[in-house]
Amino acid sequence: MLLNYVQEPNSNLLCCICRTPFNEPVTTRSCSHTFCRDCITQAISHARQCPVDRSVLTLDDLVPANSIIRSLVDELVVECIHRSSGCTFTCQRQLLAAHVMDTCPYRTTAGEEIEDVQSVPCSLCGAEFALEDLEEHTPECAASTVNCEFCTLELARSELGSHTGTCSAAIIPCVQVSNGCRWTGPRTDLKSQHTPSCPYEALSGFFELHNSKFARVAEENLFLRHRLEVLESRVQTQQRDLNSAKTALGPWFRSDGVYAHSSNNGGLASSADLPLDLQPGSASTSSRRYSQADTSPTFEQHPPDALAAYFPAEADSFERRPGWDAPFGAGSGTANSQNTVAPLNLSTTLEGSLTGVRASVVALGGAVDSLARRSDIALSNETRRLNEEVMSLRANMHGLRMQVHAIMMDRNAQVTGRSGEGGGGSNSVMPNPMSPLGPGDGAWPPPARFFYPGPGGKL
Amino acid sequence: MSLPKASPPHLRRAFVAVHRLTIVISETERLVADPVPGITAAPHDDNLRYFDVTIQGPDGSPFQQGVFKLELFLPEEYPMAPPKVRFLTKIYHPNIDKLGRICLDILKDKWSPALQIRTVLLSIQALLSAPNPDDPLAPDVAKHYKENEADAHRVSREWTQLYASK
Repeated sequence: MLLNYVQEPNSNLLCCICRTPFNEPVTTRSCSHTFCRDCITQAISHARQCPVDRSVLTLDDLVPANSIIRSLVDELVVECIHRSSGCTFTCQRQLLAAHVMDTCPYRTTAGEEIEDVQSVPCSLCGAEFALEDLEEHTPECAASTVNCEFCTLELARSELGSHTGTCSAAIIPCVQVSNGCRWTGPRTDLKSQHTPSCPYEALSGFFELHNSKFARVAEENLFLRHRLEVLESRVQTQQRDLNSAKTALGPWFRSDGVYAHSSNNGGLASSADLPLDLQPGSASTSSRRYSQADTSPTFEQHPPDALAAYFPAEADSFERRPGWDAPFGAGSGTANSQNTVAPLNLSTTLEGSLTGVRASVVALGGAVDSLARRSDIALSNETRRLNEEVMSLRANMHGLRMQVHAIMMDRNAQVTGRSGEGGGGSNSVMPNPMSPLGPGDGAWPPPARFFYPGPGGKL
Repeated sequence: MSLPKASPPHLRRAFVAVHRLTIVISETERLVADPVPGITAAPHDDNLRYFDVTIQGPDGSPFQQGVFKLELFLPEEYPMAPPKVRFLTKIYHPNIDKLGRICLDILKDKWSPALQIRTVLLSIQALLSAPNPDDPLAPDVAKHYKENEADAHRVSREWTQLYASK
């Protein structure tokens, strides 16, 4: 496809990548370098930079080159591409395509060549393929002949599969290979030689019986495994429920004792008599499990010990807790000083206990009420008594104050010598401390007299 | 002559391959027709992409008088990918290691499709004139060049005498 130029082209018209005159020249917008469109497109796909100055470049920076450049390269004189075939035609490059398509005497040859490149028929099956694809197709073409690897018979690839299944020379294993026969050999020898002597063939009846039995057992095993899984998950959920119930029950839960005993005897019936899940301990629960297990084929062969693994922890863990251990002994022993629960009767049901507690609370409420009333009355009585006392004390205080006042007046009169100015009723000049009544009159105005306590005033 | 835009991909690939091969051939022709002084490059008969190259040691360098053999291979993608060049002759140079590999930016990330075999070989010749111990490929040689350049030049001359004499 390389064009031969009649004259050496001007070096300014050469693409610096392919070193031939520009083909579909484009110019970079950023740095104004010109390349063939194909060349620069490939170069940018490898590295996004201008090949000349390494400035950053993308496909968007490319614009068709100046029309002068395009005219210059399009008008270069070239030889016909069929020169090797004998065409000596030369013309401008832009006209060459028309010549090759329409007027070149060697154009038909060229057309066939192109046909060859585009699609080639497979020589075996006749389907057409591109030259590259044909190479991949040939080894797997269904129409190609191959040799059977056992009998060297030549046959088409598509028939090979069915032939191998019937080829008398094919190496096949014994039909009893699943039972352990290790013989392999040609198909023809199997029936004639091996089968009569095969020890496994003699036992084929047994194997069949055995296989069918085995299959039945395996199926049953699968079924049982499924049931076991279902039951296990159910046991786990019930265990969870049981644990939460135990936590809620607290001291009313007991792992052994009366109820365990009765449920062991009576089974489901005794458990059903009890209030729902309030009383049964883990022992009764597990006995219910056993009674279920008795009807289920899953547990038939299991000894009870195998199931004990599902129920052991709770009883132990509860017994280990001292706070919960104590109530179990409360009915019998008096030594349980560390009893954390009030002296309730733990031998009754929880409901009975609750009723008892409620009655006690009501009684307690009444007692508190009457106590409050009584203390109220006592308080008011006491208050009244105290009031009277305070009143009498206040009166006494007043009397004392008056006496002190009289004494002070007497003394005043003595010091100033104005005793005579006082009320005429008083004859003594000297104060008479022994007589509290004397000096009451004096400098004080008559109203003071009004407060004077009478001679009968108590001191 | 270019291919129509709507041609099938396998035809397009074949066209590109042929186009690249013609680039190689025309470049080889020009290289043979217009050789660079002090450099020869000849393609193998059985592989047009494989070249035997000789480079004369540039005057004024420790490699003066030496003739160094190199191999040059143009990969499929050339000119979009750089050629692979390697010294076959032993040389004491900070940018060329024991295996003959060359530390030259245009042979790696600084390659441009506008470069050619001619420019690559000229660049290698220039590298012989101006060793760059700051960007070494052979650290011990580079150290020698940096610490005692005169002595390093002496070793380079010795090696040139030993391995690269005509």
